[in-house]
Amino acid sequence: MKNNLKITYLNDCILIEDVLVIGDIHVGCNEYGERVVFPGIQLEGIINKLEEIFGYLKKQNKKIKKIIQLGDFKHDFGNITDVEWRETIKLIDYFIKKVGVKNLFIIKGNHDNVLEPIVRKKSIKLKEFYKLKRKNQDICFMHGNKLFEQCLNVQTNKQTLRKNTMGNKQTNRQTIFLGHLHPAITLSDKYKSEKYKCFLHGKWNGKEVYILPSFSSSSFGYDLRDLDGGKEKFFIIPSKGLKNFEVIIYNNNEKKEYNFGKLKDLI
Amino acid sequence: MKALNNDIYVNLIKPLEEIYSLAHIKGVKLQKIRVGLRTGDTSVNEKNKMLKNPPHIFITTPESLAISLTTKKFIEHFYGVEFIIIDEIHSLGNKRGVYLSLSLERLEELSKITPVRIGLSATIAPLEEVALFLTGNRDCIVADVKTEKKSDIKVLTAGSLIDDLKSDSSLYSLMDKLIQEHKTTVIFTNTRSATERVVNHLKERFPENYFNNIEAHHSSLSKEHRFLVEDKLRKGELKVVVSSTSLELGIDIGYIDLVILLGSPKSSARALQRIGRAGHKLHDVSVGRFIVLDRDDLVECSILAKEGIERKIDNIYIPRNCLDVLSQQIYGMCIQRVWNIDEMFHLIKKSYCYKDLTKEDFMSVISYLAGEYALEHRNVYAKIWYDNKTKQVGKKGKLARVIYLTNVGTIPEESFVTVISDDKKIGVIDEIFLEKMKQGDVFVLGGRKYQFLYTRGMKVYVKSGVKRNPTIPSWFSEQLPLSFDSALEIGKFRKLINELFEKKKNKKGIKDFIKEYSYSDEEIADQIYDYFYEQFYYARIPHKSKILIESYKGEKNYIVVHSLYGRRVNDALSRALGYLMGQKVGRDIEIGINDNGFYFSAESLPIDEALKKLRPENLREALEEAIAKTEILKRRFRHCATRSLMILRNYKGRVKTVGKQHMKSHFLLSAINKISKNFPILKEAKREVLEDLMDIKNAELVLKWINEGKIVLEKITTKLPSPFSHNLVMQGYSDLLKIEDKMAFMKRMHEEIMKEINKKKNQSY
Repeated sequence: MKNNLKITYLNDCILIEDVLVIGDIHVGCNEYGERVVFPGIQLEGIINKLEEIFGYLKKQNKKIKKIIQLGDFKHDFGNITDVEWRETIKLIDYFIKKVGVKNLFIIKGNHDNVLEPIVRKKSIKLKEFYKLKRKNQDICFMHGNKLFEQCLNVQTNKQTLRKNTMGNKQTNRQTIFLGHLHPAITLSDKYKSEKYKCFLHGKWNGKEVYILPSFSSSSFGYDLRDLDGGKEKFFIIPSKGLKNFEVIIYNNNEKKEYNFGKLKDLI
Repeated sequence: MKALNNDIYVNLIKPLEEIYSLAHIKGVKLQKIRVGLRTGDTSVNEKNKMLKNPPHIFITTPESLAISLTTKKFIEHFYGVEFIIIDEIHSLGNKRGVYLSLSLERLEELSKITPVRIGLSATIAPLEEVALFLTGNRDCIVADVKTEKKSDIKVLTAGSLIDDLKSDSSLYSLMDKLIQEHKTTVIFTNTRSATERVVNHLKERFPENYFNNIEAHHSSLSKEHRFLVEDKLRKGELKVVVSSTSLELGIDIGYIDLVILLGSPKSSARALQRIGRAGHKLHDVSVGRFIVLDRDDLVECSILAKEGIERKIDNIYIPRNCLDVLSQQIYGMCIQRVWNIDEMFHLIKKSYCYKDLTKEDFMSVISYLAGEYALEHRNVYAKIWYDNKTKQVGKKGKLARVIYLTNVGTIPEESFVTVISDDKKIGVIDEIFLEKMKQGDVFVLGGRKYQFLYTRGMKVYVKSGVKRNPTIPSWFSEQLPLSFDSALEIGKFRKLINELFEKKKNKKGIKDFIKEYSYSDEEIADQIYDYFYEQFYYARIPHKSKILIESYKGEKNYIVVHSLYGRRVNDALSRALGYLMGQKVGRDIEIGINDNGFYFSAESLPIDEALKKLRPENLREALEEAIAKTEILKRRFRHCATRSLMILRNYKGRVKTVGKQHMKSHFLLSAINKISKNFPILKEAKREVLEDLMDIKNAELVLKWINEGKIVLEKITTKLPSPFSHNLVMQGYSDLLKIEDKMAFMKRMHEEIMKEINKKKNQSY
């Protein structure tokens, strides 16, 4: 049976019907991993980008009921400045205004130690992972640095599950959404070379996986050419597996995605 | 400058004392002459002393003079200025000079008598223009003292200039030989990094000759260190000093009997200034030796030596109508007193640098200073008030004087980080430039490509020997540009030799001509002959009246334009042409520029169309568009914003770092772009890029010559780059003209990759 979940790419996000999935935001951090000098201006940029997304959805008569953020909401520098604190709350308030406290889910990333007390103020609890069922399918959201078996119970108890669901393959299907990696790809010809944020889409252990780019500044990303260089060790999917994923670059001017084929052919 | 002032102080007190003792012997009663020195280092105590007992001779810098002019108590002592002496006036062909020209007008306005202005320089031309600059369009006497100072100038090579490795070792042997034959030597290089390199190599190769008797002297070294080196020089403790530009100015550095110019000094005036450091006393002979580094350098140095021997000095360039400097001065004037607007305008126009200032530009500066551009929410507050009814203008705010005092000046602040490759320091780059860089980016430094690896503190680690194209536009260069006048002289030399080749003159005849024309010896003439011989028989010789356009296809497509007009002109021409071509094909273009020409590299280069389109009338328009989004405009805007006090480096004692100034200028620029295209300070930044950094005036002239047929364009195709293009293609500092939109490039790459994939699929069936 075809996967009839409607998944749409939109800017740096993914839309699952009426659920908006947003990758790592790293409030307060620039593309070099340093503290931004003016968090206010960075936030202005983030909110403008979100406004553009919601404005586009409104034009399409689409309403968002739920927002899931995949972790690393705020970058952790070991401490937090007053301005960063205020700006982070502003952004959370922005999301709450859009979908309400109950429909905002923030997953705990490896950079989110300072976030706990902030979100608690807004009575939101950070989640290690989040599960959702749509059209009889399990959808799982994780940050990507740690694997949570509970999230994948359908698959980890593979055999039991097979027995229970004989003849009903639908419940066996599972889709996973991950952040953490901030994938980006460099395209070059003889005369020019440019780096693009990208999505990765592929199969891993029989599950369908989407990896989202970061939501921060335009060139924030981990160059996939360096895949064998180290960072993927902190990612739950090994680089060997990632190389079979498809690379997707979204063109926001045209609101259209471009599939570049398998990663291994590009790097 | 500060060193210079200390120096004059010492050199003035001594002769005065001698005069007193002579007078004493002869029984003449003399009044004691008081000398006062005011620079940024002068203590409050000393300033107070000066006020109580004003000096007869007041020595100061342009910045300190400007501050004095806003201080009531100081002003009182300027009512009777009789003489104003400006020494080394050739060093003021910049915004600092523009600033001073306005201060002089203000001083004249204050003084009850008209001060006599005296400007001094041994190496400046044209004297008529400099006279106008000094006096502000008033009549004056030019004393063109044909100094009988003898000079002995020669060009030397360290063996063959083609074999790189060999020449490096023989280069230092030659230097060592020359140094050992003389008592004290100054070596001039063109960059700070080269200065360090020469010191290290000499020490390493000849440890018995160089230990603590060799020093470097350049502007990146601390003031204390430079003073120390100068002092050691005066005491005769040093055998050799290696310097970039910092020792060019006329501070007394004791007995020097040899000046070595390592590589071309890029202008005849600079060559003479440098050589003039040897034998500074009136009847001494200045001994100068050019040591050339490559074949282009050989030709260039030979012509500069000829100009030096014949004492032809190239023309100074003086910036005009600088609106940032004007802003600062108007602020200073308003702090001094309330002005009538027309009276103020009239005074400003007396300066040579502002004689053509339009009322419109003047009023736009007044508007900006009076806060009419609504930049308050960006923390740019009104600094003056202007009453349209009474036509009066004056200062605003209690802190005005303090702000002025702590932010005065025209020299932009920069901060640099050291670049290190294979444990060796290879140069410095701007801290702001570093911010743009991502891991893996390729950039150009000193004509070579490096890949950015990582940073540690104030050090950048890079990989050398990179083949890939630069990924970020650089447009920052430490290199001095060749002056237009000297470039034309070299072009003339090329033309004369070309004529001899065309007339099939034999080798000896041509070599005799070279020897006679450039006062060179057999060996030099030989090498120059060979270089031209190869170019003539392999391709053509480009010269003063012929621009050669050479296309060849190596790994990539190249078009080399041999236009020997100096880098400032080539910068303008190449960027305008590149921009026009880029507009046509919608792709990025790599460009390389040096003094002898420029090259383009891209898939498709419609140079004919671009050349047809580019005319003297539309060069400015094309260039303004070409630079609109570049880093260099942003950088120059920051300098102008600081000079015009939009950005305060220092506010109530809090100092803004260069990085913070840069951030602030970034936001200001985007705000201004929304407000007005004619905002005076943005206009000034554009003017500075086009007129001061580039040379749009002479670029227009070259285009005019092309139109009039005085310069012909000749196109050839070569299999390998011709000898004259080697240096350009190998080391011309290259840059990237970003034209193609990032998303457009993504789509093109997507198409190509899909084609590739489909091809594979079809093959497998």
